[in-house]
Amino acid sequence: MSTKRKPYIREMDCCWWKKNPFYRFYMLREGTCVFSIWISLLLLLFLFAPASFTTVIKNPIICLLNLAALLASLLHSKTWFELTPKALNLPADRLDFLVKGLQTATIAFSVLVLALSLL
Amino acid sequence: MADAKKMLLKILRYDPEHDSAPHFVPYGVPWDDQTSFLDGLQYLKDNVCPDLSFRSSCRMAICGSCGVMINGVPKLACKTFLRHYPDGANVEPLANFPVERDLVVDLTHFLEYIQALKPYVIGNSRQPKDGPNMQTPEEMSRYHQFALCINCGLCYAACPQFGLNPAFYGPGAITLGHRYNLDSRDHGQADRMRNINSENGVWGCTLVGYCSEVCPKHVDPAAALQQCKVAGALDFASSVLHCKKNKEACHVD
Repeated sequence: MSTKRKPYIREMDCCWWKKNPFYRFYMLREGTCVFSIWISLLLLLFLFAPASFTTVIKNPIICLLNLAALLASLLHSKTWFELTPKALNLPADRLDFLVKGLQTATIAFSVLVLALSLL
Repeated sequence: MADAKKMLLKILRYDPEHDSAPHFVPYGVPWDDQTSFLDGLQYLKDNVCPDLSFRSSCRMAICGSCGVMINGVPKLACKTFLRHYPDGANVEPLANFPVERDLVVDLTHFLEYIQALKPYVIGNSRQPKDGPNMQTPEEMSRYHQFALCINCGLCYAACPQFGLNPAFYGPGAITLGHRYNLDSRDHGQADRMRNINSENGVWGCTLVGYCSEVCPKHVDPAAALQQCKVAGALDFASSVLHCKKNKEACHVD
Protein backbone atom coordinates (compact mmCIF):
# COMPACT_ATOMS: atom_id res chain seq x y z
CA MET A 1 0.00 0.00 0.00
CA SER A 2 1.43 3.38 -0.95
CA THR A 3 1.63 6.17 1.58
CA LYS A 4 1.39 9.93 1.28
CA ARG A 5 3.56 10.37 4.37
CA LYS A 6 6.68 12.48 3.96
CA PRO A 7 7.79 13.51 7.47
CA TYR A 8 9.88 16.66 7.37
CA ILE A 9 12.94 16.62 9.63
CA ARG A 10 14.19 20.00 10.76
CA GLU A 11 17.97 19.76 11.16
CA MET A 12 19.62 21.49 14.13
CA ASP A 13 22.37 23.84 13.04
CA CYS A 14 25.47 24.63 15.05
CA CYS A 15 23.91 27.93 16.22
CA TRP A 16 20.90 26.31 17.92
CA TRP A 17 21.92 27.75 21.29
CA LYS A 18 21.90 31.36 20.08
CA LYS A 19 18.12 31.44 19.54
CA ASN A 20 16.98 31.15 23.14
CA PRO A 21 18.21 33.08 26.23
CA PHE A 22 17.94 29.91 28.35
CA TYR A 23 20.31 28.06 26.00
CA ARG A 24 22.66 31.04 25.87
CA PHE A 25 22.96 31.05 29.66
CA TYR A 26 23.47 27.26 29.63
CA MET A 27 26.39 27.69 27.20
CA LEU A 28 27.83 30.46 29.39
CA ARG A 29 27.50 28.19 32.45
CA GLU A 30 29.22 25.32 30.66
CA GLY A 31 31.79 27.72 29.16
CA THR A 32 33.13 28.46 32.64
CA CYS A 33 35.03 25.14 32.36
CA VAL A 34 37.44 26.84 29.93
CA PHE A 35 38.62 29.07 32.77
CA SER A 36 38.98 26.00 35.00
CA ILE A 37 41.45 24.64 32.43
CA TRP A 38 43.29 27.94 32.49
CA ILE A 39 43.60 27.90 36.31
CA SER A 40 44.73 24.25 36.21
CA LEU A 41 47.52 25.17 33.77
CA LEU A 42 48.51 28.05 36.01
CA LEU A 43 48.67 25.73 39.04
CA LEU A 44 50.82 23.28 37.06
CA LEU A 45 53.17 26.15 36.27
CA PHE A 46 53.28 26.98 39.99
CA LEU A 47 54.16 23.35 40.81
CA PHE A 48 56.86 22.82 38.18
CA ALA A 49 58.29 26.35 37.68
CA PRO A 50 57.53 28.52 40.73
CA ALA A 51 60.00 31.23 39.68
CA SER A 52 58.31 31.75 36.28
CA PHE A 53 54.90 31.60 37.93
CA THR A 54 55.57 34.78 39.94
CA THR A 55 56.65 36.63 36.80
CA VAL A 56 53.71 35.34 34.75
CA ILE A 57 50.97 36.30 37.19
CA LYS A 58 52.22 39.90 37.34
CA ASN A 59 51.51 40.34 33.63
CA PRO A 60 48.46 42.66 33.20
CA ILE A 61 46.87 40.37 30.58
CA ILE A 62 47.22 37.41 32.94
CA CYS A 63 45.68 39.54 35.72
CA LEU A 64 42.68 40.25 33.47
CA LEU A 65 42.42 36.57 32.57
CA ASN A 66 42.51 35.64 36.26
CA LEU A 67 39.83 38.21 37.05
CA ALA A 68 37.64 36.68 34.32
CA ALA A 69 38.43 33.23 35.77
CA LEU A 70 37.31 34.43 39.22
CA LEU A 71 33.99 35.71 37.84
CA ALA A 72 33.52 32.46 35.89
CA SER A 73 34.18 30.33 38.96
CA LEU A 74 31.73 32.43 41.00
CA LEU A 75 29.06 31.88 38.35
CA HIS A 76 29.93 28.19 38.20
CA SER A 77 29.68 27.81 42.00
CA LYS A 78 26.36 29.67 42.16
CA THR A 79 24.74 27.61 39.40
CA TRP A 80 26.30 24.37 40.72
CA PHE A 81 24.73 24.78 44.14
CA GLU A 82 21.42 25.87 42.65
CA LEU A 83 21.33 22.68 40.56
CA THR A 84 22.48 20.36 43.39
CA PRO A 85 18.93 19.81 44.73
CA LYS A 86 17.92 18.27 41.42
CA ALA A 87 20.10 15.25 42.15
CA LEU A 88 18.55 14.72 45.58
CA ASN A 89 15.11 13.38 46.29
CA LEU A 90 14.46 15.35 49.47
CA PRO A 91 11.59 17.54 50.75
CA ALA A 92 11.77 21.17 49.52
CA ASP A 93 12.43 22.70 52.97
CA ARG A 94 15.45 20.44 53.54
CA LEU A 95 16.78 21.25 50.06
CA ASP A 96 16.66 25.01 50.75
CA PHE A 97 18.62 24.44 53.94
CA LEU A 98 21.15 22.27 52.09
CA VAL A 99 21.75 24.81 49.30
CA LYS A 100 22.19 27.69 51.75
CA GLY A 101 24.53 25.53 53.86
CA LEU A 102 26.67 24.65 50.85
CA GLN A 103 26.85 28.28 49.72
CA THR A 104 27.81 29.42 53.25
CA ALA A 105 30.48 26.71 53.51
CA THR A 106 31.98 27.77 50.16
CA ILE A 107 32.08 31.45 51.15
CA ALA A 108 33.60 30.59 54.57
CA PHE A 109 36.24 28.33 53.00
CA SER A 110 37.11 30.96 50.34
CA VAL A 111 37.51 33.66 52.99
CA LEU A 112 39.70 31.32 55.06
CA VAL A 113 41.97 30.54 52.09
CA LEU A 114 42.18 34.24 51.19
CA ALA A 115 43.05 35.16 54.82
CA LEU A 116 45.74 32.46 55.00
CA SER A 117 47.29 33.59 51.70
CA LEU A 118 47.43 37.23 52.83
CA LEU A 119 48.98 36.46 56.19
CA MET B 1 -16.47 36.85 17.52
CA ALA B 2 -16.23 38.05 13.86
CA ASP B 3 -16.33 41.71 14.99
CA ALA B 4 -13.63 41.23 17.61
CA LYS B 5 -10.12 42.65 17.26
CA LYS B 6 -7.75 40.41 15.32
CA MET B 7 -4.30 39.14 16.14
CA LEU B 8 -1.71 38.07 13.59
CA LEU B 9 -0.69 34.44 13.98
CA LYS B 10 1.94 33.08 11.62
CA ILE B 11 1.46 29.35 11.41
CA LEU B 12 4.03 26.95 10.01
CA ARG B 13 2.13 24.99 7.38
CA TYR B 14 3.33 21.82 5.72
CA ASP B 15 1.43 19.63 3.29
CA PRO B 16 3.53 16.52 2.57
CA GLU B 17 1.70 15.99 -0.73
CA HIS B 18 2.57 19.41 -2.15
CA ASP B 19 5.28 21.15 -0.09
CA SER B 20 8.98 20.40 -0.12
CA ALA B 21 9.46 22.24 3.20
CA PRO B 22 7.27 23.93 5.85
CA HIS B 23 6.51 27.64 5.41
CA PHE B 24 4.82 30.33 7.51
CA VAL B 25 1.33 31.51 6.55
CA PRO B 26 -0.13 34.61 8.29
CA TYR B 27 -3.70 34.54 9.65
CA GLY B 28 -5.82 37.09 11.51
CA VAL B 29 -7.51 35.56 14.55
CA PRO B 30 -10.27 37.35 16.53
CA TRP B 31 -9.48 37.32 20.21
CA ASP B 32 -10.31 38.57 23.68
CA ASP B 33 -8.79 37.95 27.10
CA GLN B 34 -10.27 34.45 27.24
CA THR B 35 -8.91 33.22 23.87
CA SER B 36 -6.30 30.49 24.04
CA PHE B 37 -4.06 29.53 21.13
CA LEU B 38 -6.09 26.34 20.81
CA ASP B 39 -9.26 28.46 20.46
CA GLY B 40 -7.48 30.48 17.78
CA LEU B 41 -6.42 27.37 15.88
CA GLN B 42 -9.92 25.93 16.12
CA TYR B 43 -11.37 29.24 14.81
CA LEU B 44 -9.04 29.05 11.80
CA LYS B 45 -9.97 25.43 11.12
CA ASP B 46 -13.70 26.17 11.38
CA ASN B 47 -13.73 29.44 9.42
CA VAL B 48 -10.59 30.04 7.36
CA CYS B 49 -8.58 26.91 6.50
CA PRO B 50 -10.40 23.62 7.11
CA ASP B 51 -7.30 21.69 6.09
CA LEU B 52 -5.24 23.03 9.04
CA SER B 53 -4.02 20.05 11.06
CA PHE B 54 -3.27 20.08 14.77
CA ARG B 55 -3.81 17.77 17.72
CA SER B 56 -6.05 18.54 20.69
CA SER B 57 -8.50 16.87 23.01
CA CYS B 58 -9.26 17.95 26.59
CA ARG B 59 -8.73 21.75 26.30
CA MET B 60 -7.61 21.89 29.95
CA ALA B 61 -3.93 20.83 30.10
CA ILE B 62 -4.66 17.24 31.06
CA CYS B 63 -4.33 15.21 27.85
CA GLY B 64 -1.04 16.71 26.63
CA SER B 65 -2.09 16.59 22.95
CA CYS B 66 -1.83 20.23 21.89
CA GLY B 67 1.89 20.94 22.35
CA VAL B 68 3.24 23.50 19.87
CA MET B 69 6.09 25.98 19.68
CA ILE B 70 4.87 29.53 20.34
CA ASN B 71 7.54 32.07 19.41
CA GLY B 72 10.08 29.25 19.67
CA VAL B 73 9.00 28.12 23.16
CA PRO B 74 7.27 24.75 23.73
CA LYS B 75 3.77 25.38 25.13
CA LEU B 76 0.39 23.72 25.44
CA ALA B 77 -1.89 25.63 23.05
CA CYS B 78 -4.85 25.21 25.43
CA LYS B 79 -2.96 26.69 28.39
CA THR B 80 -1.43 29.66 26.54
CA PHE B 81 -3.47 32.78 25.90
CA LEU B 82 -3.31 35.24 23.02
CA ARG B 83 -3.53 38.18 25.47
CA HIS B 84 0.09 37.48 26.46
CA TYR B 85 1.25 38.04 22.85
CA PRO B 86 -0.10 41.49 21.90
CA ASP B 87 2.29 41.72 18.93
CA GLY B 88 1.17 38.39 17.47
CA ALA B 89 3.05 35.11 17.52
CA ASN B 90 4.62 32.40 15.40
CA VAL B 91 3.10 28.96 15.89
CA GLU B 92 5.16 25.95 14.86
CA PRO B 93 5.02 22.19 15.43
CA LEU B 94 7.00 20.87 18.42
CA ALA B 95 10.73 21.10 17.79
CA ASN B 96 13.00 18.03 17.53
CA PHE B 97 10.24 15.80 16.10
CA PRO B 98 9.63 15.11 12.39
CA VAL B 99 6.69 17.15 11.03
CA GLU B 100 3.90 15.01 9.60
CA ARG B 101 1.58 17.83 8.53
CA ASP B 102 1.13 21.45 9.72
CA LEU B 103 1.32 21.33 13.55
CA VAL B 104 1.21 17.54 13.81
CA VAL B 105 4.51 15.82 14.62
CA ASP B 106 5.56 12.18 14.63
CA LEU B 107 5.95 11.17 18.29
CA THR B 108 7.08 7.61 17.52
CA HIS B 109 10.48 8.05 19.19
CA PHE B 110 8.92 9.30 22.43
CA LEU B 111 6.30 6.54 22.50
CA GLU B 112 8.87 3.81 21.82
CA TYR B 113 11.10 5.10 24.60
CA ILE B 114 8.21 5.14 27.07
CA GLN B 115 7.54 1.50 26.17
CA ALA B 116 11.24 0.61 26.53
CA LEU B 117 11.48 2.06 30.04
CA LYS B 118 8.48 0.09 31.34
CA PRO B 119 6.58 2.74 33.31
CA TYR B 120 4.39 0.33 35.26
CA VAL B 121 4.69 -1.72 38.43
CA ILE B 122 6.89 -4.79 37.86
CA GLY B 123 7.47 -7.83 40.09
CA ASN B 124 4.70 -7.24 42.60
CA SER B 125 3.00 -10.57 43.30
CA ARG B 126 0.29 -9.05 45.46
CA GLN B 127 -3.23 -10.29 44.64
CA PRO B 128 -6.58 -8.45 44.97
CA LYS B 129 -7.46 -10.71 47.91
CA ASP B 130 -4.43 -9.28 49.78
CA GLY B 131 -6.17 -5.89 49.92
CA PRO B 132 -4.79 -2.46 48.96
CA ASN B 133 -1.02 -2.07 48.71
CA MET B 134 -0.70 0.70 51.27
CA GLN B 135 1.96 3.40 51.11
CA THR B 136 2.92 5.98 53.69
CA PRO B 137 2.61 9.66 52.64
CA GLU B 138 6.43 9.81 52.72
CA GLU B 139 6.73 6.85 50.34
CA MET B 140 4.28 8.49 47.97
CA SER B 141 5.96 11.90 48.16
CA ARG B 142 9.17 10.38 46.75
CA TYR B 143 7.60 9.87 43.31
CA HIS B 144 4.38 11.92 43.31
CA GLN B 145 5.83 14.90 41.45
CA PHE B 146 7.09 12.64 38.65
CA ALA B 147 3.70 10.94 38.40
CA LEU B 148 2.13 14.21 37.19
CA CYS B 149 3.62 13.83 33.68
CA ILE B 150 0.98 14.05 30.93
CA ASN B 151 3.26 12.83 28.09
CA CYS B 152 2.88 16.08 26.18
CA GLY B 153 6.41 15.96 24.74
CA LEU B 154 7.23 19.62 25.50
CA CYS B 155 10.36 18.47 27.36
CA TYR B 156 11.57 16.72 24.20
CA ALA B 157 11.01 19.88 22.16
CA ALA B 158 13.06 21.76 24.79
CA CYS B 159 15.91 19.25 24.93
CA PRO B 160 18.79 20.06 22.56
CA GLN B 161 20.41 16.70 23.34
CA PHE B 162 17.35 14.89 21.96
CA GLY B 163 17.41 17.23 18.95
CA LEU B 164 21.06 16.39 18.30
CA ASN B 165 20.68 12.67 19.01
CA PRO B 166 17.11 11.31 18.54
CA ALA B 167 18.31 7.95 19.92
CA PHE B 168 18.58 9.57 23.39
CA TYR B 169 15.73 8.26 25.55
CA GLY B 170 15.03 11.84 26.59
CA PRO B 171 13.54 13.55 29.63
CA GLY B 172 9.91 12.36 29.51
CA ALA B 173 10.47 8.60 29.18
CA ILE B 174 13.32 8.51 31.71
CA THR B 175 11.22 10.50 34.19
CA LEU B 176 8.38 8.00 33.83
CA GLY B 177 10.79 5.10 34.39
CA HIS B 178 12.28 6.85 37.40
CA ARG B 179 8.81 7.45 38.83
CA TYR B 180 8.34 3.66 39.08
CA ASN B 181 11.89 3.09 40.34
CA LEU B 182 10.96 5.30 43.30
CA ASP B 183 7.67 3.51 43.96
CA SER B 184 7.80 1.25 47.04
CA ARG B 185 5.38 -1.20 45.36
CA ASP B 186 7.66 -1.76 42.38
CA HIS B 187 10.53 -4.25 42.00
CA GLY B 188 11.56 -3.50 38.42
CA GLN B 189 14.45 -1.07 38.94
CA ALA B 190 17.15 -3.54 37.81
CA ASP B 191 15.15 -4.21 34.65
CA ARG B 192 14.76 -0.49 33.83
CA MET B 193 18.33 0.45 34.72
CA ARG B 194 19.62 -1.61 31.76
CA ASN B 195 18.11 0.99 29.43
CA ILE B 196 18.42 4.04 31.71
CA ASN B 197 22.16 3.35 32.16
CA SER B 198 22.77 2.45 28.52
CA GLU B 199 24.58 4.48 25.87
CA ASN B 200 21.42 6.36 24.90
CA GLY B 201 20.15 6.54 28.46
CA VAL B 202 20.46 9.14 31.14
CA TRP B 203 24.12 9.97 30.45
CA GLY B 204 23.10 11.75 27.26
CA CYS B 205 21.67 14.49 29.49
CA THR B 206 23.95 17.48 30.06
CA LEU B 207 21.55 19.22 32.45
CA VAL B 208 20.51 22.04 30.16
CA GLY B 209 17.44 22.20 32.40
CA TYR B 210 15.06 23.73 29.84
CA CYS B 211 12.82 20.63 30.04
CA SER B 212 11.89 21.57 33.61
CA GLU B 213 11.39 25.20 32.61
CA VAL B 214 8.78 24.39 29.93
CA CYS B 215 7.02 21.49 31.70
CA PRO B 216 3.36 22.55 32.04
CA LYS B 217 2.80 20.29 35.07
CA HIS B 218 6.00 21.24 36.98
CA VAL B 219 7.23 17.65 36.92
CA ASP B 220 10.88 18.79 36.82
CA PRO B 221 12.21 16.08 34.49
CA ALA B 222 15.74 17.48 34.86
CA ALA B 223 15.61 16.48 38.55
CA ALA B 224 14.46 12.96 37.64
CA LEU B 225 17.36 12.60 35.22
CA GLN B 226 19.95 13.81 37.74
CA GLN B 227 18.56 11.36 40.32
CA CYS B 228 18.78 8.64 37.67
CA LYS B 229 22.45 9.51 37.15
CA VAL B 230 23.07 8.95 40.88
CA ALA B 231 21.12 5.66 40.72
CA GLY B 232 22.96 4.71 37.50
CA ALA B 233 26.38 5.33 39.05
CA LEU B 234 25.43 3.27 42.13
CA ASP B 235 24.02 0.54 39.89
CA PHE B 236 27.28 0.43 37.91
CA ALA B 237 29.41 0.37 41.09
CA SER B 238 27.36 -2.42 42.62
CA SER B 239 27.53 -4.47 39.39
CA VAL B 240 31.35 -4.10 39.33
CA LEU B 241 31.57 -5.23 42.96
CA HIS B 242 29.19 -8.10 42.24
CA CYS B 243 31.32 -9.19 39.27
CA LYS B 244 34.51 -9.13 41.36
CA LYS B 245 32.87 -11.37 43.94
CA ASN B 246 31.30 -13.77 41.43
CA LYS B 247 33.61 -13.81 38.42
CA GLU B 248 31.98 -16.85 36.87
CA ALA B 249 28.54 -15.18 37.01
CA CYS B 250 29.69 -12.19 34.93
CA HIS B 251 30.89 -12.27 31.36
CA VAL B 252 31.86 -9.39 29.14
CA ASP B 253 30.05 -9.11 25.75
